[in-house]
Amino acid sequence: MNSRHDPNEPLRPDPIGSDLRGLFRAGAPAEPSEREWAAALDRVHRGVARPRVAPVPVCRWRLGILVAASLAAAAAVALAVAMPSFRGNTDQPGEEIADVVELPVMDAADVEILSMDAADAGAIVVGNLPLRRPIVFMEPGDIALRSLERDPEGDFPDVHMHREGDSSPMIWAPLSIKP
Amino acid sequence: MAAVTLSSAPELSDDQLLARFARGDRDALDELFRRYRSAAYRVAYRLLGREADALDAVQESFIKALTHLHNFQGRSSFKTWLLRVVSNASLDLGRQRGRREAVSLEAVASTEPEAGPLVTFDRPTQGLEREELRDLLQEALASLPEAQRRTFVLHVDGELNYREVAEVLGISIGTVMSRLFYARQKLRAYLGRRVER
Repeated sequence: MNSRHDPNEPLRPDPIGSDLRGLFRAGAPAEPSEREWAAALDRVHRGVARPRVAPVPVCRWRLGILVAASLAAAAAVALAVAMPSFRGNTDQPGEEIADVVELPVMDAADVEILSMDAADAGAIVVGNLPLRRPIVFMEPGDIALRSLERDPEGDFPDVHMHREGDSSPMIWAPLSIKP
Repeated sequence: MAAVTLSSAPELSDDQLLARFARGDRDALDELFRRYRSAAYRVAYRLLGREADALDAVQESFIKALTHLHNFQGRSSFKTWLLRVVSNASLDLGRQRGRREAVSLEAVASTEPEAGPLVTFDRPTQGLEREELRDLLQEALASLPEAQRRTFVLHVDGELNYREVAEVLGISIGTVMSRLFYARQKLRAYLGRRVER
């Protein structure tokens, strides 16, 4: 690299680092013209003016009606399936129902609870209860450290092994490590 | 764009403008756009590498930021909120468009910079046209991992301080400082081969 540095000029310790911001300012992208800005602003105005779908608050009584209607529909389906008289005339009276097929009235995706009183939280159970015990994917004995490599940024972590025969490694990468 | 004059009174704060915008004041939107369009454009350009894409990202981000103000809730400044949307939108747009420019830039960045024009830090435009310098900086940025590039761009081109960058990216200030440290090192290493001292 040739140099145009004036030997009489005092050397700075790190001209690249100290002037990096200035370099990026000097190399900033050319701004759009005022006409382009105006067109963009016009599109923004039109974009924010589009009708927005506001969340519809659900009253407790409407939620109650929804749940009651769902339960009623489910009960009707259950009765229709379970009681032959509800199924009308069959070709062979007395024949047992061979298949009982569930008819889903609604599933989880059809129900969205937008709001409810905190006091009612304990009264609602939707679907299966979530898993309440921890899921153990692996335990210390399942891990064997075979090798370590530098990460894409060139950092190499510190590794400390447990002293009492446990093969679990403790790995960390201090921020002060140079790449 | 037509000049916006809301009033001759002292400049309104962003919060005041947002309140006016919420009441349907178009001039308030004009003023917010005028205030932050340049920073938004610089960030989008640095992350996308194409002027047309950057302008698209800016306008889409303003729309998204202003139509999702309920998510903003004044927890940070409007500028911080907007640049968060801009950086997300830019990365999304870049992915949607197949990283056209990013891929080509990374291909360039993966090769040793050689025999290119020289630039001086004292007078950056000496020896390089502004467009060449801009392209050189894009190449240098493309050599950074995405997280470092985004952090550096928000800090330098978005003119956000460490705390604001941390808010935008949802990371700690220490992580911001670390990313900037490594980004500067890599930019020095890349540009140092092309820069006269």
